[in-house]
Amino acid sequence: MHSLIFYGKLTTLCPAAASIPTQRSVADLRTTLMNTFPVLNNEPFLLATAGKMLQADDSLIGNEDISIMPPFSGG
Amino acid sequence: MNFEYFQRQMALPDWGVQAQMDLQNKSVAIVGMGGLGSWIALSLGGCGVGKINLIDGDRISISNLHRQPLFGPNHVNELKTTVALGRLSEQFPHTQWEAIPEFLTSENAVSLFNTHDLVIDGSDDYNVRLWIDDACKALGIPWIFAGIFQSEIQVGVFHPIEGRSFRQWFGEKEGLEGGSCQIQGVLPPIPAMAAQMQVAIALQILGQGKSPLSYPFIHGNLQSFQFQTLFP
Repeated sequence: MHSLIFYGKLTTLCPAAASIPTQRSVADLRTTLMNTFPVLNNEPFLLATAGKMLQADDSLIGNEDISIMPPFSGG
Repeated sequence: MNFEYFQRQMALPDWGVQAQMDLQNKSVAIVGMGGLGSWIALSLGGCGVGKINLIDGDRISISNLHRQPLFGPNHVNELKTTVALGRLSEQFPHTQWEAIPEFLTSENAVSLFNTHDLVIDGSDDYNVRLWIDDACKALGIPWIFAGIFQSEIQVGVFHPIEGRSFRQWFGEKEGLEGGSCQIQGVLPPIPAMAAQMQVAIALQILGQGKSPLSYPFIHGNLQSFQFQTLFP
């Protein structure tokens, strides 16, 4: 399983604590997130784990904690 | 140059006279003169950036005053850039200031940035960040982003022509709203802290020649005081 950590505005749109089954790639991860939390289809966000941003063609080892971070709008 | 004015920062071993002179030859555009932009302008002026343009079409409202240190109750309904120009020109006469009382758009961004070395984002709008990113890509210059959500901050450096692009990182979803300080609320030290981090980065890029690509994307929570850095 991947534990999910939402940030910013996404904390008001998604559950505070959530997890999804282990994904093999970041592309799979993004698809699963969109399907599990449809609101993400309308929001910009980046994915990161352990201090590293995840790129679309990265593979996952399994069971990483995933940060889902939108750009904050306020200023 | 008034060396006595800048003596304390020139005394730093990794700053010195050369960095100070380099900074005096640099030009910065600040987009937005609100909770971020006010602090950015004050600090960059104090440090001795040669030329600073202040870009914002907004007028001062009472709800701005608690976190925007350039403005007072007597300035309500006046243009932010006009009031800021008066205050900053008086306090920091060694900087060449220019007020541009316009909102940034996709149409005017390139022309507003085209004489600058660096753009610093003090806006509160996702679309504006996309337009800054596009214009900086066209001009081949870097820009420094900051965003606020309640007690959390983000700071990041983008240099789109070198492959680090806000649009690429966050996507193409123009028109999004919902995270502004008006809606989410904000305490004054939160944008002040983010702005000072932007300024610290700007000084390193402009005065010390540090690569814009060397910075991580920074997220900080000023309730828990936990910070994390994300590298691409």
